[in-house]
Amino acid sequence: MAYIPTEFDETVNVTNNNPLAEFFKLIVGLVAVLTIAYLILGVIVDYAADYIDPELEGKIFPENIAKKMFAIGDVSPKLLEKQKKLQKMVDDIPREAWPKGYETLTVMIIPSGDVGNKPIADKDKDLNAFALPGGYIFVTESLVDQLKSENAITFVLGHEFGHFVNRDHLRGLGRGLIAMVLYAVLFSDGSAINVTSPITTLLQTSFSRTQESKADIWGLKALVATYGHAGGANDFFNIVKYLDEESVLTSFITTHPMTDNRINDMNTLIKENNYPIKKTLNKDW
Amino acid sequence: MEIIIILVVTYFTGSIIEKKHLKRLKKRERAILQVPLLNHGYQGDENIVANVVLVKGSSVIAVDYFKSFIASLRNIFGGQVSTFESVIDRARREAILRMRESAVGADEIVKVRIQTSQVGKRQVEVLAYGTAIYKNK
Repeated sequence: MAYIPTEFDETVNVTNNNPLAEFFKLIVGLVAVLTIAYLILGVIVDYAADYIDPELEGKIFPENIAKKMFAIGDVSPKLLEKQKKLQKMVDDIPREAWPKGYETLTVMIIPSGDVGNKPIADKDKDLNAFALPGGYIFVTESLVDQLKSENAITFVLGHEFGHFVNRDHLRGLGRGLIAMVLYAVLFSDGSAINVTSPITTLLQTSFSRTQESKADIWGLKALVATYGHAGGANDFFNIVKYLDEESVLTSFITTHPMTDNRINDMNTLIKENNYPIKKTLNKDW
Repeated sequence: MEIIIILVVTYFTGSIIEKKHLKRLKKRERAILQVPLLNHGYQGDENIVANVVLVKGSSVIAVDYFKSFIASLRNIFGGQVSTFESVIDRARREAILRMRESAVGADEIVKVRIQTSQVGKRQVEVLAYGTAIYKNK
């Protein structure tokens, strides 16, 4: 038997395909899988949020964990004074306007960036309040300073109470966590997972328009329960209108219903319930 | 994102490097065809064997970022990791080639075995070894 040297095909063991085509196919598939997972989990989170009552919520977010998650840092003594006054206003709201099942609701102020007496146009326009798991209400310092009547502040606090009642604060949290988990799954080969800290994720979740409108209703309820009349209900919206360069276009995109709509809805509610409107109490802090 | 830039660059560098290597392999394989490679032991006449030498060839090849990215996506969906196939095949051909090149003048190389192992992150070593038989002239 003689050996005849032959050249033969060495490409049998290599799949003959275009790596770019494979790459795009896999990437598109991955994005589709993640999107579907996010949507399905979002629906489940929404469903589950209605079943997490305040007691269970307190177990998931015990005070020490919540305090660590939401720690803002050192607060100036002046801010601490304001915070104490805010807390008293929260506690002064009658129990019938409190979200059921909450023993305590803690309010904390988020300090604004700038200090000193600046004209309204220059002041930080970030008038915002958040309801967070564990019964925490966060309010920006600008909001506290811009609202001149106690009634207006009570309305805002009552509005946040409304979010607790509707369990809105849990829905946003659930979705934020899912986003973080999916991100970690995708970049698990060494990339930093801690791109967003829990607090920024939570603060960035905004509630939908229907959620906001529902919370407005509760805000009015809390206002009337505390003062006996509906004066000051629209103070917050009027200030927002004054400060905001709100155009029709931007309102369409944001999740907040146009402030005018909210004012109209509020007035309709007041009329329907025959709430009296009296003078508001000026806040001196 | 930086990842996208790295992926694009390594796709191009990776395919250039691979094409060059494949060309070199083909050229060297053509030149070395003369000596038969056998997987079984020597079956000829022992009396005419002048020398017996253990010959080995090894090569280490690294996978570029683009290829391993596709491979990690495959970890989710499963299926053939075609990008790794080409890399390991090149390493294997290189190892066998080096084994043959180290046995210049041999009449046959018998009991050829091939071994693959991972030496570093995304780096593969292929070792090919066999017994080179030099017969009496």
